[in-house]
Parts: sequence; C-alpha cells; structure tokens
Amino acid sequence: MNASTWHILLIEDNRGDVWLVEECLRSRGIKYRLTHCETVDCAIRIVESFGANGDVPDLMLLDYNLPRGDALSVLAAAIGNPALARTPKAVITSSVAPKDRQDSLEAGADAFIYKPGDLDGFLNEVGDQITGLLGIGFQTK
Amino acid sequence: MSTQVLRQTRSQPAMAQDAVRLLLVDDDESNLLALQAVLEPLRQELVLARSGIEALRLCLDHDFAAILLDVRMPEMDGFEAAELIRTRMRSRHTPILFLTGYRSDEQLFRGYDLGAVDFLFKPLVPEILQSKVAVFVELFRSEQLLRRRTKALARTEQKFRAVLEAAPDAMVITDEEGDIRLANSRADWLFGYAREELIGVNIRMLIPHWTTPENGSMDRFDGAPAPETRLSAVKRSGSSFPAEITTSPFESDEGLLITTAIRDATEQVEAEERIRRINVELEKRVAERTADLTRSNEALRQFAWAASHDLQEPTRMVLTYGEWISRTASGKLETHEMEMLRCVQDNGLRLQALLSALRQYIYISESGDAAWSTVDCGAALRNALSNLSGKIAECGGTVSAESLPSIESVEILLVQLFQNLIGNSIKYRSDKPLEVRISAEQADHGWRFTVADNGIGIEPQYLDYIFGVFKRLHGPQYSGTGIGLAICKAAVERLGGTIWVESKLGEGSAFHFDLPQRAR
Repeated sequence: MNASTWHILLIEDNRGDVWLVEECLRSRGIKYRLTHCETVDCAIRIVESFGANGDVPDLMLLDYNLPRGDALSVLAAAIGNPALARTPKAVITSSVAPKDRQDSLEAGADAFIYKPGDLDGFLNEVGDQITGLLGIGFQTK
Repeated sequence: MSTQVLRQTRSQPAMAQDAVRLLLVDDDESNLLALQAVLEPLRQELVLARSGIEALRLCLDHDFAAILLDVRMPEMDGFEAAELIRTRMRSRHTPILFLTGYRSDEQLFRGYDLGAVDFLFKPLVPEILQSKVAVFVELFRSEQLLRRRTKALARTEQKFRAVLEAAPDAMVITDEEGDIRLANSRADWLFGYAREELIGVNIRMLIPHWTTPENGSMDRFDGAPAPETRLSAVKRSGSSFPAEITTSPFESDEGLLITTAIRDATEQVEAEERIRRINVELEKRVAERTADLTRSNEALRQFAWAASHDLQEPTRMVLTYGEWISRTASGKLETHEMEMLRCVQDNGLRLQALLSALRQYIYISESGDAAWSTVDCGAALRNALSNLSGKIAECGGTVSAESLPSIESVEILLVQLFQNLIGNSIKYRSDKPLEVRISAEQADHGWRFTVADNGIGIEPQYLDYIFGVFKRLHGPQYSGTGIGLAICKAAVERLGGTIWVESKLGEGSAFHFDLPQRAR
C-alpha cells in the first residue's frame, strides 16, 4: 500500500458529485484510489467487508441523502467495524437543515461537510475538509 | 210624585257614601215627615211612599235595606201590603218593621206570620227607632258585601275553569297523595278516559312515577316556571308515551293541592333522537373530513418540503456544471453558444432563489410556538434595517419610524416581516427619492403597524393577489421571487394577526398589520 496514494471510500449516488470530489483531490495534486458505491445496501456490504489487515480506506465520505435507505445506518455499520476505527468518517450533504448535522455528529461522524451551490465554493470547501481529515492540510493548493 | 220626594230628601243632609235605601210607608204625611226627621241622622237614602200600592211599586224597582210599614192605611193596609211585598222575588227577604198604634196580640201574630221582623209602637221613641233601623242598615250592608264577594269568587272560579280548559296541556289537580280532584278535557283526550273515570283515582294510574313536588317549591313565587321532568305516561289503552311533566302545589281550603301539567313529548323525543342521530352522523363526517384534510395537508406539506429540498440538489448540479463548462469551454464556444450557456446558468440561479424562498416560506409557516417572548418592536425594526442597510444606502432612501411598542411575539418573525416589507418598498420605489415610514397605533386587543412608502403603488385589483405564493406583478425589470409578501402573510398569521395593503397607483402603498398584544 503506497502511503502517498490515499484510499478514499465514497458513498455517493450523484455522478456529478463524484466527479466534483475527484476534482477536489485532483486539483490539489492528491493521489487517490476511489472505492465508490451508490446505495445503502452496497455501502453496508462494503463497510462490513473490511478486515483488520485488509485494504482499509483512509477516509470515508458518506452522502447524507442516499436512495433506498438511511445513510446513518451505513455510518453505524462503519463504526461497528473495528477495522475502520482509525478511518475518519465524514457525512457530506447539501442539506442546510441543522437537524441533519446534529444527527450525523451524534451518530458518530467525525465531520459534517456542506456542499456549496457553486463550483469554486465546492472545490474549496470540500477540498479543504478532505485534506484536513487526511491530515495533509499543508498540501492545500 | 214619589220620586219628587226622593229628590227632596237627597237635598237634605249629605248621605253616606255607601248609603242604602230605606222605604218609609205611611198614608199620613205628617207621620212620614216625623219618620224622616228621626232617620235623617243615619244619612241613608229615605224613600217615601204614601200607600201600600206605591210601596209595592217601589219594591219592584229597588232593593231596600228595610221597610217601615204603617199598619193602618186606607185601601190596602200594612199587612196586605206586606203579604204582597213578600210575594215579590226582589223583596222576599227584605226586613219589614210594622208601625202601629195598638198593642194587639192578634196583630202581632199576623205580622210575624207575614215575616215582620219587628213591631214599633206609636208614639215612636226616636232613639229606639234610629238604633233598630241602624241595625238593619248594617245587616243589609254586610249582606251586600257578602253577595259581591260571592260573585267575585264565582267569577274567579269561572276564570280558573276557563284557563284550565283552554290550556294546551292536560291538567290534573290532585291532593298530596295524588288522588285526582279535577281534570281538564285535554286530560280526558290525552289519556282516553271519560272525566268521571278520572276523578277520585290516583294520578299514578296515568303517570306511574309521579311524585309529590318537594316542599321547597311550595313558596316559590319568583316567577320562574316549575321545572319540567320527563316521565312515562300510560293511556287507557295501556300504551305508554313520554310526557313532559310540571307540578306546582298550592294551598287551598281543601289542604295542599297539586296541579300537574302533562304534555305529550313523543314528537319532541323523536325530534331529539333525530337530532342526536344527525349530530352523530355530522360529527362522524366532520371527523372524516378533518382526517382527510389533515392527510392531504400533511401530504402537501411533505411535498412542499421535499420539493424545496430535493430540487435543490439537481439545481446545484446544473449551476455547478454550467459554471464548469463555461470555464473549460471558454474560448472554444461561439458567442451565441456562450449566451445559451449563460441562459442555462441564469435560470438555474433563479430556480435556486425560488427554492430558497420557498424553504423560507415553509420555515415561517411551520415555525412553532417555542420562541414567543416579549419583543421590543423597535429593536426588531433596527435589526431588519441593519440587514437592509446596504440596499437602503444604495438607493438613497430614508426610513423613519415612530416609537414602537413591546409585545408578546416571535422576534425572528417580526424582523423578517419588517425586512420583507421595507425590502418591498425599496424594490418597488418610484423615481422620487424613497421614503418609508413605520408607525404603530393601539388597536383592538393589540397594535396596528403600518409600513408606508411613496413607491409605484399597486393597482386595486391586485391588493389581495400580491400576498399569494409566487405571485408577482412585474417582469424581470424588478428582481424577486414573488414570495416575500407571502412570507409576510404567513408570519403575521403565525403571530395571530392579519395583514392587508392600501395603495394608490403612482402614489405609494401602506401595508398594515394588526398584531395581538399577547400570545393567543
């Protein structure tokens, strides 16, 4: 496992947002490897499949509004897997409802990332949060 | 002739107010005058007759308290006259006092036989004559009084019977035990008995659960009708029916009597049952309707919420990727292609603004009662003005306010209200420098606030329209989502008030809203 290639688990149903997250990483020169899934069921299967010596992700990004189910159940599954104990888990959403943020943090999310409505805002905000969570803040821009 | 004498006597000493008539009969004028003189002090009406015939004639026309009759008269003597007087109905019981000069037993027997009450012997002793006659005057008066009273009593009884018979209800008068003393014809008709059958039987045959009214109601003459009770009543045929019963006791010579009025309540009971059934049905329907409305309201609410939030996501994508393309494609696209892309982006922005306004509207309409507190409206206005300071400075307008009250309210909604209304004034200002005046005056149960401007004004047919969601009067020359005033309306209604506008096209608008002093 190459330390300079970050393994990102992205649970996101919107292809547009997948590209935007990738652009955040690319534009900051971050080498990454993406594990991507679009539904809650798929996400839970993947999250539970990680073993102690396996290829655990360095960061989990979880879209709050997933089709067919509750994103927080994915979060619970991730927290329930000891192999992911050291993986930062962030909920990412365009929701402005304070309740979503509160519920996410109470469910054990390490961060709650808001998706701004414009291109630069997205690249800056989401990019900053990702680098912060990966602990590579110095690499910003 | 006799009447002349009558008139003469009347001109003598004034008669007593309740004077009675006394008939004095003597063929000797001087005797008559003497009698008259003796009896005048009694101040009664003295009628004089000079013969038995005349006396008889007078007896036909008048009632006399007493007749003083001379025994010895020519043609018809006193006894003959007395005999005839006695045969007349009117004078059958009139006391007759014979006046005679002789004390003869034969005369006395004959006289008493004819109904004489006394004999007076000549020469008459004035005091004795006076006092004897006075006794008869008194007697006559008492009798008259008695007769009048009896008549009045009979009339009352008659009235009572008439009332009883005319009553729309069956009326039964019983003693305390319930034994029937009297019943009206309605009672016969209602229960199917002949009246004679009812008298003497117990009222419980008609109303099994009849009870003597409580003593407390005995002296109740406060004008309030006796309370009604509904009891079952039984007809002669054995069929029973519901009846409204009122009982009222009264004291009489025969002891305590009780009047029981009975009204057939069958129709009323049926009507009540119908009303009850209708009410139950109505309540059921209202409940169903309310449930339907609640369901559809909830569905609408969820829809509005979902629309405002879920549409946000694709809108964000459209905007973000529009921008991304315009950035990467810059220089590669033709000018008109760039314009088309710009059009996509502009409309995306507008959609975003609308969704944001809609979310705000939903938030205001659904904001709970949690945040009620005493709000200084002046402070709320200053808050709103500080949020608008940039726009106000930009247009060079002036906003002035009178001192505003403190009320029980929700501060965030008040700030929103002032901000939207003043924002509206700024947006729809005319060519003149903008002036906005905010004031408040005491109104029913609260305050009437006014935000008045000198802007372009509103045509009268749109004064209600503008408070609707997404309702706009102007095209793109005035930016706006068409939801600002809908938010104002939702906020005011949330605060328990009402909002409306007065306006004249070209002269400005005055938005008024009434808010209660206290939370409802």
